[in-house]
Amino acid sequence: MGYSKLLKVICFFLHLASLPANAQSTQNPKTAATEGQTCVGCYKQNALGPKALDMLNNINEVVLSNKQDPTQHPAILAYSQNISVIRTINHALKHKKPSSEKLCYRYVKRALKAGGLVDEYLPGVPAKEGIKDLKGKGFINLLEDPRFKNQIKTTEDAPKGAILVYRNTKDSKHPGHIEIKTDWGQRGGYVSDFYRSTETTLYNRELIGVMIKENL
Amino acid sequence: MKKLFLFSVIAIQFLCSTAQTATLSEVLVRLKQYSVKDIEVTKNQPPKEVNKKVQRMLSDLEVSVELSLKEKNPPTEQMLKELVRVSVLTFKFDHSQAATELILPLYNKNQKAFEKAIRTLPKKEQEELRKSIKNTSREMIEGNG
Repeated sequence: MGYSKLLKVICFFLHLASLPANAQSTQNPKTAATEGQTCVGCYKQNALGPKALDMLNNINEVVLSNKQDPTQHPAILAYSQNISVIRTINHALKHKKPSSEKLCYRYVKRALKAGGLVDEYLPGVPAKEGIKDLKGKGFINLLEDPRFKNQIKTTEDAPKGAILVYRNTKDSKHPGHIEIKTDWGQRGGYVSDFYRSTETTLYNRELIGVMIKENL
Repeated sequence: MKKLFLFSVIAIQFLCSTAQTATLSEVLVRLKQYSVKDIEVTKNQPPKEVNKKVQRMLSDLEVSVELSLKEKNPPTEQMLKELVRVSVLTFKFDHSQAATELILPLYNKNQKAFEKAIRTLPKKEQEELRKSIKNTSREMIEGNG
């Protein structure tokens, strides 16, 4: 019994002696991460397996992609720079009226057809149904798309040439509104049967669709 | 303890509702205060500031119409004059002409009285408002496509 106690005491002291050395190896001051950051270097020095390291690297990639500017996405760039989109915007700007004639969807439909983004005049009557009509012509709603829905939430986030669809927040029977974004971010405005700058807000309207066409 | 809690909840709700709800006369006072200066873009009043004021105007128009529709008596001449004046005022900045959409339910119920109020506006503005009312009525029935 006395011998085993002595062994335990020796083991305890040996463990204490090994602690500072371990602490130095786990915390490298040069690679320490600040609050909110993930320091891959720090973890690499730990005894983590390759699977755990892969997982950490994947987490870092997801965080980075969330911070990326969605307007730099190849699908969005390809749409916004396409000649049909430019033609659509130009047609809408050329034919707009000084103020709304309450025919936003009619003017947007004409522009889409003239620009070549759709092969025929869209069938729907209320603007809020534009989402369904445009989906039928190969458009996607960026507000619903898992690749973009966390990044595109407002009209300012919408890319150049996107078709923006709104519903009336007070009256469910109201046909809603639709318009085309004329440029990136705050540079452009919005055009339908009238033009409004980014400094004006639509009253009682909620954005329900940011539509673009992939593979143009 | 439960009674005290219920009483405090009811008291807070009452206070909140009285703070939010404006009376017709209060909204009328607010409408009367709006002028052309509110929608003029200047160095001291950038477009974003004007936009805020126009949004407030539209909100006051909406509240005025909602309260007027709840009243048993038809809206006063003074109220209708202010509704049409402020509506036309917002048109100068808000090209979506949202004001018409807000006043339309009251217009449909009191067309004659509204027409009388519209005649107090300058001719150009009369035409603009009548055209907007016509377009908005059509939009509500036929849509905008």
